[in-house]
Amino acid sequence: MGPGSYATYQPLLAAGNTEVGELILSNYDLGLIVVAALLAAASYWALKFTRYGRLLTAVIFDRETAAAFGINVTAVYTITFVIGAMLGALGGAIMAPKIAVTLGIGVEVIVLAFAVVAIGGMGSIEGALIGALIVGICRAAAVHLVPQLELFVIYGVMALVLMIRPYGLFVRAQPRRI
Amino acid sequence: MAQRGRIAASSALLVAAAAALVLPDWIISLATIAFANGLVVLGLIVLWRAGLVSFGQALYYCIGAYAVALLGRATGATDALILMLIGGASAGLVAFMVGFLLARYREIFFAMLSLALSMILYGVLVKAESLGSTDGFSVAAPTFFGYAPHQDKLLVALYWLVLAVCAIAAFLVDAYFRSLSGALAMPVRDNEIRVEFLGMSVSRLIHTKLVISGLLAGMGGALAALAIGHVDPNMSYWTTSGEFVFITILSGAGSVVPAFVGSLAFESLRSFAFAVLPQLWQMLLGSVLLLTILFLPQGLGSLIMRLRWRRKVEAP
Repeated sequence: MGPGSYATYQPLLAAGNTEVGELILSNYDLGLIVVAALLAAASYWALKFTRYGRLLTAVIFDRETAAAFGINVTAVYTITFVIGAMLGALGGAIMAPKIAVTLGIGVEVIVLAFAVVAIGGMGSIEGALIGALIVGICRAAAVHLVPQLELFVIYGVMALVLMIRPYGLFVRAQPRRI
Repeated sequence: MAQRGRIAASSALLVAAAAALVLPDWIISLATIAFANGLVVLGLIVLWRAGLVSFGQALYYCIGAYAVALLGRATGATDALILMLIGGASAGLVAFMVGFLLARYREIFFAMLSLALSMILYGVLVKAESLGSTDGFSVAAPTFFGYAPHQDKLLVALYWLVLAVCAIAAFLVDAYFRSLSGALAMPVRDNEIRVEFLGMSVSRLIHTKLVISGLLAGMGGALAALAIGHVDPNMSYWTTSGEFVFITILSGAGSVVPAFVGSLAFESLRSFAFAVLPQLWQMLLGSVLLLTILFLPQGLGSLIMRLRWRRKVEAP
């Protein structure tokens, strides 16, 4: 242990490659896409169709009213935080073979994650999906096509989206609370 | 009560000014940077009271600093006071312009949009060869109304200038908190619609706060540029903004003085941590922030309140 970095590329190599025409794709990358899609579907289902998901939606909508209806708000917050932390840890774990693991790799990710949420809209899983795609594609496109913009293209896109949709792309109209 | 607070703050100011004559250079230079950053924190407190957290205060900080550096390079102007005022004014002007956009946003969207703006400036500065790219460029030693001190004397003169600016800013912001527009910050945080029903424009109130915080951050950046003698694009990077938010949490948003106490505490803590634990200084900083949030959720400023409250309870 210490401040040095680690390379954990073994799973990436062990997974091998797939050739599609002229393109060589890493099986590990393809697996990542499948895992991400499955997790997104699972979270969507859990949030919309399970008892706990509905409790969580109620708590987010109005904490006090939810408590008045007998929902244990603290427990819901704790469980949600644990799930969020687990998803974050899983994200780190499956990314580790693709990057050099070092202290502070989370710092850039946290800002990107907030950008994705701001683009997609809070509490929206489809928004997070689309937001992540927008961020990823814009970054990759900028690196290839206009390297001058590489450093801030994500922030530029986020600013543009927020100018047009101040609460993100996929947000339901909120009632005014007086 | 307010009277007593002002007397206490003024005596603290006099002690801080007199201390420059006896303290070693490194403490004076640390305190100069700390108090310059304290101005930025004061601006964040103005927003914080209305429930807004800006993760892009580095934008104004950087504009203030670059205005000083560019003006010095283009015209050869070296007067610290004029440079600082122009730095603050240019940041305030930018805050006024982006305020038309930012005043519509709240919560994470406000934080992220302000962060986006500061990161765009960062990207532009890094790619701009004529502005020194990632190296930035240096700032000439300042003069004070024709008085051109060197070395130790320059350090003390700059420290006194920063103290004076901080004192004036603290006094004015304190007066703002007591004014109608300032006092409406907490109602805006609690329920905007009620404030609208009272006949006040929430977006105008927030726009005013944005301009005030931009002005303060610009002056802080200008003074920091003069004190460090160098500007670089990292002044606009989001970690700089994050640091200011960190200090604001440490200080608390209850009143104006904790901004400077918190900033001084943060800089001292960082220097101390760096000297004692060169590899683990972030751990020490993080632990202090965690303990502050757990035991002093209202920040360092609430310590004074607690003492006062206890005294009142003890009194018969």
